[in-house]
Amino acid sequence: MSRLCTVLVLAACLVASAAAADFVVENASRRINLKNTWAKAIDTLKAKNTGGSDLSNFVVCYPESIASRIAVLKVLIKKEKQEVAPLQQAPQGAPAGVSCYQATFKSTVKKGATVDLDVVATVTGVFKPNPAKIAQGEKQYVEYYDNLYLLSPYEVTEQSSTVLLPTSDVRSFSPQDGGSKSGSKVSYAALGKQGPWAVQQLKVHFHHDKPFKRVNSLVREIEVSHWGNIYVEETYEIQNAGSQHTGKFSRLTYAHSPDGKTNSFPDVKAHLPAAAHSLYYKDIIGNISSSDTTHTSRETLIEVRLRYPLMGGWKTDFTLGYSVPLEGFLYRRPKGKLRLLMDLSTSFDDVWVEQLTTRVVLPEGAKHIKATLPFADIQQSWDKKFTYLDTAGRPVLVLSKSNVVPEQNKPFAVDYSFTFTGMMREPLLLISVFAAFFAAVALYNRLDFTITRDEKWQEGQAHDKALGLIQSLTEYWDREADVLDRLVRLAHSISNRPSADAAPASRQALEAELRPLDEQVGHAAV
Amino acid sequence: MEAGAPVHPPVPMAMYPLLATVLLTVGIVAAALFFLYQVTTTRYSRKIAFEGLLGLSASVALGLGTLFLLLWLAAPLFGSVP
Repeated sequence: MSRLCTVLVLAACLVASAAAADFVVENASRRINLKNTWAKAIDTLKAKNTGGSDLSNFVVCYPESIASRIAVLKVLIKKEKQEVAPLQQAPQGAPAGVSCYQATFKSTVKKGATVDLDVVATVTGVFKPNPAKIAQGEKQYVEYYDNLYLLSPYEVTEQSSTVLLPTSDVRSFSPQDGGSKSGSKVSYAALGKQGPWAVQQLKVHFHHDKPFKRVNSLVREIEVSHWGNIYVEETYEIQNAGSQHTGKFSRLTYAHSPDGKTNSFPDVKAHLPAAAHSLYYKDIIGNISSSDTTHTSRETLIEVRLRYPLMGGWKTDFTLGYSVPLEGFLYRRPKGKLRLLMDLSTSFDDVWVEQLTTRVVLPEGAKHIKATLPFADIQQSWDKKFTYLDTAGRPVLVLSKSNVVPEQNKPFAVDYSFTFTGMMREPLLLISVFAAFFAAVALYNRLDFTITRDEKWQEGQAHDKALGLIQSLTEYWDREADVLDRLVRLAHSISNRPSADAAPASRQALEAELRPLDEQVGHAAV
Repeated sequence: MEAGAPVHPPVPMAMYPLLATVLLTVGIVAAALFFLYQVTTTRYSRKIAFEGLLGLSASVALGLGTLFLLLWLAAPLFGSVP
């Protein structure tokens, strides 16, 4: 027991010391780009391996308020992506409210060598509007909070931080000393040497002139029909996540002055595939006619104007649907399988999606369904959809992901097998329904439902029998007439010696035909 | 992600309107002939082979005609299809 304790303590010490004592960041240059409606922090680090051996793990950390909203985290060495995984627990000595990730390098860093790496984090929803509520025509000011220094378990020798803003209208930035504002840039040029876990709050309060287009939820349903089309239907709930609008809304001021619009937006633009057709844009009320579509050879650009302009805090929902042909999206794979290649997320510009659900509806009878996804944190589940001519329901693969930015709109693949006979199930179902109807009619006509078989019924039966007899007799007489007609023509056609020789044979053949007919007439008459 | 040969629909989509109208016309005519045959003959003179042939061809034509009608019109009207 005590040996176990010793081993555990030793291991803990190793883990704790490993984090702090292996790298030293010689130079850290942080650029925090706030020009868009989401923040992009690019840290260019030059780290030296001062540990005792070759290392391949590097820890990057962020304050909890930023880490919980990270959409994309990339660690690049010479533009090559390295593996990044979140760490369950921050390394020893970390202050409270810090989340860390561990990057595993593809090639180890030798003892004493330096490595240049770029850490890129795209973070959504970290702008805090201040003032929280504005009237129509007022400008939108937001605050951004971060750590001034590189939040790192390693010692940092030299660092600088630069904040790039969308406008040059900055109300305040803190801390004041060390920082300088020039145009739309706030920079802290030489921050000096810092020990590990240097914490200092950075706050910038500035005017953000772009509207915050946030999609609260997006359900993207992709239905594959092997008869020729792939149907895509996207249901959006979109909200303006900027400073909230308070007070009155004047349509006149909105239309007639640029100040009446400020942080609001009336439309969103999408880049759909070039082969998209049969587009529709509607909501629960009905069709929305305010949209513009431009078809070019490379894409279909659609500008979707919302039912009303979204002022701060307002939200609306709508459905956008279109069809694309199979060519370009559905392919044959070996062993009779098929592969569907579609984009994961929305094709709208400048929006980020809080909750994305992509549903892939495959034809009924599709088997061995397997998805190849571009990200590891996409949850998969199954569902069933009943639509046209379905008996057992179509399999639906449901993919969910939260916090999706446009750069994550990558293609994904779904492999499945579906046979030609499986496709024939639909027309066969229809044909059998009609056939059953005709069979029922034929059956009904053969059944006799009279309650009393009285004289009138017997007369009717006799009448039917007579009618039947007459019909069959008529048929035989028609055929006899046809044969006799041919005999007469044969007789008339004897105009020379050779045909006269051939005639008796033909006459015999025709009379042979006549004989069974005579017999049948005789039988019928009986 | 590699892809193989593209998948083509079994019937070109431009032919859907033509196929739907022709098949439905043929199917309705065949159904009419079927009912005529039922009505003009008695149960003693009816031939089941002829009845079966008429019924089967009518149901095939009507079934396929309805399928192509659905494929042609359901998307523009309702937004999705078989």
